[in-house]
Amino acid sequence: MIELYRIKNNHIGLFSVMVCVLMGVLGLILLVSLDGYQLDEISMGLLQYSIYTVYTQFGFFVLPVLSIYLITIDYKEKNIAFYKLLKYNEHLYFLQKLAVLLILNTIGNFIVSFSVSAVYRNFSAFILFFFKLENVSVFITLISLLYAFVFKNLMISYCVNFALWVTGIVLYSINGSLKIFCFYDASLEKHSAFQDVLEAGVIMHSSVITEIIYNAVVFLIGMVIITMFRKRWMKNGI
Amino acid sequence: MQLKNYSLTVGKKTLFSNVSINFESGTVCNLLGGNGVGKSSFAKSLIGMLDYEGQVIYQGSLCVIGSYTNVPYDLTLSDLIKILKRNKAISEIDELYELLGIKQIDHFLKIGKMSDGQKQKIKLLSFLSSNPDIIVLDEFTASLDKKSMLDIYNFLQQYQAKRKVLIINITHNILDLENLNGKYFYVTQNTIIQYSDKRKLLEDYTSLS
Repeated sequence: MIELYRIKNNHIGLFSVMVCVLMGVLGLILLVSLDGYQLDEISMGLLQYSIYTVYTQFGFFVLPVLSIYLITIDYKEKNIAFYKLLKYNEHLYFLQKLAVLLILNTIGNFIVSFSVSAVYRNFSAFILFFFKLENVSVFITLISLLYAFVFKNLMISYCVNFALWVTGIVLYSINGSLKIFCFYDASLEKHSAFQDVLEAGVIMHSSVITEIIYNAVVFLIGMVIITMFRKRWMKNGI
Repeated sequence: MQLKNYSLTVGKKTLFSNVSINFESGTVCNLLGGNGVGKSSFAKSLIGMLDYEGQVIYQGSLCVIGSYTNVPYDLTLSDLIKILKRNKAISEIDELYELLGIKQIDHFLKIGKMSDGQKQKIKLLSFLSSNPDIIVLDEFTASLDKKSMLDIYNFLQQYQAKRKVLIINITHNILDLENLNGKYFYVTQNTIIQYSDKRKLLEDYTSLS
């Protein structure tokens, strides 16, 4: 796979994992600096919830950067013809980028969730917490790659990503039935309820399945979008 | 390759209008023309990047090599060779490797850090490894130093002699005409005119430029 050679050389792998780890650290820092907790007052459930909130609220700023870069750099450097030479089509190209990023995010998310459980020597909610982080990062990675695929320019893709994230929150605040447009946002009831779930040390929760289904639907819609914009891929990249 | 009533418009500008011309296989066809006449647009239309009217008829496969067809800069030469060798779409690259003198290039240097001449050789290695029947080179010697240009000319002549492919060399560099013998075409006033005499083409080109 070309992407594995490329991330080995351009250090995207290292940055990607570091971003996840730093979001984990930020989850701790915010509890101490903003919420005023002492370190020994922070329970595992509280820390996990804080990190999860960092993912859902800051993740939309941080995670898209590398995702968008991974495609827009090919457009900028006119590499698409090379992928076509190797018989890639637009779907295979997108899926390969997605796969690599998901692998890297999984490594980062595993480090974060394992570290938290290891510090507290409590792995009861490890799997649940890991999957919750995974689902958020899968969604963010998927949609930011889609924006990059369509919009070609890094700045435009990033701004569209940000604008649509904000729009989703606004839509939900106007009409509560539109939560599908801000599915992972902290303003949703299920988000705050998740803290209780984590504190209880539950091994698995139905919200994980719901999120996986949601991500799968977004993925299928994404594949349709890529089919519609296949000519754009060629033109953007040459 | 045959163009039949080929027309190309980009935005509001008509670049080619009802052009019918034949590029003979097994030759080097040099397309000379000034800036902005539509030479690169013609090349891009051949790979579906721009929509044209009329017909472009050819057999076999075609590849375009230009400033808009690059090999990812974050790959090393060693990575690239492994990728090419593993891909089913690629035939042998060993012959190209020898002809291009790739051995002399640092295999562990990222392509982005190579000189322009080396990058062009890497491009040739990559895009010719699929054994295309028609090769369109778009301003391929632009920004190259004299030695690199001569290396490329030498390679193309050897490659052409062995493979008998059609090479369409799109250029505004007169040196290309001096070093790549073949057929000569002038892109001007929305059409492509074939010249039998290289000197006459150069006269017309330099007087009108």
